[in-house]
Amino acid sequence: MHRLLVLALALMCAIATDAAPVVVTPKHRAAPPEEMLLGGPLAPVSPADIPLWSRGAMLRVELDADGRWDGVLPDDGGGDLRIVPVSQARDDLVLTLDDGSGRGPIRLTPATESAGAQTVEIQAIGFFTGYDVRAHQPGRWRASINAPAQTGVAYLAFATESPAGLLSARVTDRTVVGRPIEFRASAHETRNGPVLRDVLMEMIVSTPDGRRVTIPMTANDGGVSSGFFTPDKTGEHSVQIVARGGSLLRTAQHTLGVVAEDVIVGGGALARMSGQGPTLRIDIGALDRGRVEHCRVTAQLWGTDGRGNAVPICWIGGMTMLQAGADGEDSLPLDVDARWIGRAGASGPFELRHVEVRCPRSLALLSGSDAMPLQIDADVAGIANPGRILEEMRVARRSEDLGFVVDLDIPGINRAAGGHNLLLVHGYCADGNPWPLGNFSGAIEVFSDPEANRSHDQFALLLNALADTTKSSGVVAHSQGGCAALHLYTYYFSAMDWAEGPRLIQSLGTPYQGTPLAGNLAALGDIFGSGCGENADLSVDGAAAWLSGIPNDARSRVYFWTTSASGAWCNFFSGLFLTNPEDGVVEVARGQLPGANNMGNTVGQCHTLGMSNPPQYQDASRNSEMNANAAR
Amino acid sequence: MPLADRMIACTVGALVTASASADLVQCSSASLPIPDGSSSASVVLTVPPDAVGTVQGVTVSVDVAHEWLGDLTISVSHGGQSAILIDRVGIGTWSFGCGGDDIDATFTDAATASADALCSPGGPSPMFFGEILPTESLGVFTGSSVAGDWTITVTDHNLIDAGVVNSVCISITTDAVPCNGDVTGDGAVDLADLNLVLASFGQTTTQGDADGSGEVDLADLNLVLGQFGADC
Repeated sequence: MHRLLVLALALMCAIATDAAPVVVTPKHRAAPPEEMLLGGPLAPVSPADIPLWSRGAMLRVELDADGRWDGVLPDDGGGDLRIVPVSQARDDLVLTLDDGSGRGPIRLTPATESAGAQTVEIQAIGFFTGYDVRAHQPGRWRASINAPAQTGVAYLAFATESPAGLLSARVTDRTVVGRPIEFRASAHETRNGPVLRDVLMEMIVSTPDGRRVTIPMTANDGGVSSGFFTPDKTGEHSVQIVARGGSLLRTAQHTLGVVAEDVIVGGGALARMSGQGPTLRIDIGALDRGRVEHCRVTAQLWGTDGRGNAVPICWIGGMTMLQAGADGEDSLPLDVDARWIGRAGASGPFELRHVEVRCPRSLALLSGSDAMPLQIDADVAGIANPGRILEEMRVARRSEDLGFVVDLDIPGINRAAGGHNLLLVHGYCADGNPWPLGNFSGAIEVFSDPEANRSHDQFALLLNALADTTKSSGVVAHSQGGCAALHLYTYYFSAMDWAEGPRLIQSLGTPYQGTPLAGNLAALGDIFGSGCGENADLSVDGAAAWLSGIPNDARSRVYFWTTSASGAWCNFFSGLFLTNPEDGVVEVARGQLPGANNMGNTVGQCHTLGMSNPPQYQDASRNSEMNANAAR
Repeated sequence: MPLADRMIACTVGALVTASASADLVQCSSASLPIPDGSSSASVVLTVPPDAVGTVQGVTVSVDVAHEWLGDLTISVSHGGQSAILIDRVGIGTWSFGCGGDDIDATFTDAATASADALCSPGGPSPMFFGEILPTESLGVFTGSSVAGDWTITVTDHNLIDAGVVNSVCISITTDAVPCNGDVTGDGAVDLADLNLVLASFGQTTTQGDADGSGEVDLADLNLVLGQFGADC
């Protein structure tokens, strides 16, 4: 279609508002059985299947009244030791290390050239000095910190040359108040190597109200340690797994959202034709225990074939709100095109399997059911097999009665006038728009929500608030902005639905599969305040839960690029915790979005300004390509 | 004519045909740009004053190329009555209405599908096709005189997207007896018409060519016989 091209930059006017109610209409999606079965992108995931592998450590130390700490720094590697003291007293902090080799203590200050002292920026935290201490002996170093200007807490973030690491995972799916949450961990000689014995594990839980609880973990005969905690507060929790054994010290940082158990699915489900074409409205029985926000509900729809065997029909999912039924029973409604039943050649009895209700703010699993009967009060036996999957079967017809109101706090978003626009989106906790505006042409809008910590859902709804002021929008997004754009396109009707052009969502450096850095940055919050805070959606297991609700049809609208450092790391600090190749925030492997369009990895570019290579978003050539191919 | 408005006027004759069911079908296929943003384009189809009968039913066929159908209101008016065919479809659902492209549809009260039901992202182009239920019933014209101007007005309420009216047709069912058998034009189908057909039978001529086929043949004879005795 020919579009009038508005050559001037869109007029922008910044508005700052308090929370404002906005009506959004959810999009309920369906996908073929092959996507929901084992190995498919929509197959149920368990956090136990997505462990963190850590070769670094974040050692928390308490400075005394004189700003001093003395202790032991285990080093199982020898050779190079990369270390970053993270405290509020950057310039005045002196770190002293003595490996006992007789050559005497090494005194590390920002002016220590021999240890490769270098300035390290930690996103949203500040600037620090990192050191690369070479050619030392492995063992248990005597270490001290002298920071006269500071008391309280500091961290020593470090990594050795040893290939040994810590493998840890949350194994409890549901993270609700009052129910125990289990973590398991084991230390290994290498990533896939044998388990290291005689390693003691503990978990340190940081709660939203500032408490820190240390819980010993118990090892089994196989060397796998287990520990539990039972949350009594909702909100983002940080769990540090600490492994100590001989000269080995490793930590892994997990972040997770804990929610109240305010909805419970159960009983069964009832479906009838909604009156809108071939749309079937499935009401999943639920018990309302005070749920006031929308949920992401996903399920597998199964029927029965002519021989009485269970046959998969399709996957269904989307955002929905609890609705009170006329009979006093509550339900979670999901719409689906009934022609899926005809395609599968299925008849009753029907069943919903792997029903999951997740809180979109953290994707914590609120409630679930392995299987529940589905009664369909409609004549579905006569639904013809459409022969192929029609596009309109993938997204149920828009139903305004499924809409709900969300309160959005939208400070600083620039709203733009325009018709068919390109939306430039920044990432998590960014200062503001990173994209050079001169690389883009036509009608563009700039999303600006600086230094904010948003779940993918919150971020997406903010994008919608901006995009909703235009007829149609394509997106060029950096970092988490890519997840937010995909989330918006997947789960809500928006101006993105009307964009036309080759590429709807183009993203750069987006952690589609999360980043181990999320937990490490969150851990620093007890020194520097919340910073940008924990974000469970950016964690590795949080990302997996999110992705398990994104069908291939939506993923296929994404074109993504990754970058990586030309040297050993982009950022000295994040390099301690990320696996190469990486861009300082996102590992290339975890920047992949299966089912989407991989536009390649560029070596020699890092995630943001201030890293070892130029920032990825300033590549004028790539930006020009994005601009030329953007849907608008 | 206001600068912002465009209008095409069509006189009856060139495209009016009559059939045994007494339908008047009048069309315009002249391309007419739709001014972008709160202006209108109108097509006037004129049925001359000597046309007889009253309206029994109306359908309107519209072929419009436009990049954002939610911008458009289309209405038809005649004899002091008007009916809206579509009115900014999708407004209230989408901030700027339905974003689909193009219309190639017939609006009829007999349709079951609404334009709203056809609006869906990723849908076909033309997005509005087939038979569509008008926003307001075309029954408002029932009983009115068929003669006079029938005006189809297309209004674009928003900037950015533009379009063109490719063609419109109006089909009017009247209660008038069909009179194309009156080949002499004297107001009745009688012996004079029969004689003229017989005199021209087998010739290529307009004299006695009741059905306008260019030849005088059995079809013309049957038309005259079928309408024999009618007052037109």
